[in-house]
Amino acid sequence: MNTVLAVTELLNLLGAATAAADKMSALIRKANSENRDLTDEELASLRSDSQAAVDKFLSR
Amino acid sequence: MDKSVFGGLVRHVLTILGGGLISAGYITAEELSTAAGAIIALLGVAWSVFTKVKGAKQLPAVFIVPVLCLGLSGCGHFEKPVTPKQKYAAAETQFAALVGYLDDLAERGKLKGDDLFNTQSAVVAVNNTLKLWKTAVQENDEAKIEQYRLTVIGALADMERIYTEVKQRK
Repeated sequence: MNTVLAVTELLNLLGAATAAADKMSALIRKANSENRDLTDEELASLRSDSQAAVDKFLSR
Repeated sequence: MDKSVFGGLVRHVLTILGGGLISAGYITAEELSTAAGAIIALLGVAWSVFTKVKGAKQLPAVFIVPVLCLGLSGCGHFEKPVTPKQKYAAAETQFAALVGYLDDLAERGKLKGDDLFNTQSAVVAVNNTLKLWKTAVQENDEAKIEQYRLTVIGALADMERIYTEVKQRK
């Protein structure tokens, strides 16, 4: 049973990590296609997303 | 050795190492304090889960996260972050995913009590380091960028190492 739960958790986690990697990849592809690096606004948006996630988690 | 003694030892080691970095002009005392706090908080979580795993034989799912975070750049499917801004972006997206995952665990009641508190403390510490990392990226300060990148990844790597050791003993 513990193994089943562990695999489930791993899949959940893998899903979250994959979604994050997809988001990062999309940003980098867009920047590369425009022949530029990521902008400060894009970085600020990521920081804002992280901060929102942190704030939600800390409210527990 | 209990958790407070372990934390004290880590702090002493970091103070000694950090003192050298301050003397060499690589970091300020404030930055050392932030970085040391992040590392100690993460190791505190690792220690807490480690001691529980030994007794309860539960899978410390939170330790799997670092493996995924560290392995990310090796996944061919994804764009590999190359520039300092891209590497920072990769860390931010993975961090947000990690926090979202931890929040989900807490929502489902699988992360609670001391584990929840310690994890929240670790998240705050890494979050603060990421803020400093972002500033360093925008200021194009290569030394600080590397310092903060290593702080975050190193803390996660230590957690992953302990998790691997625990698995190998079982």
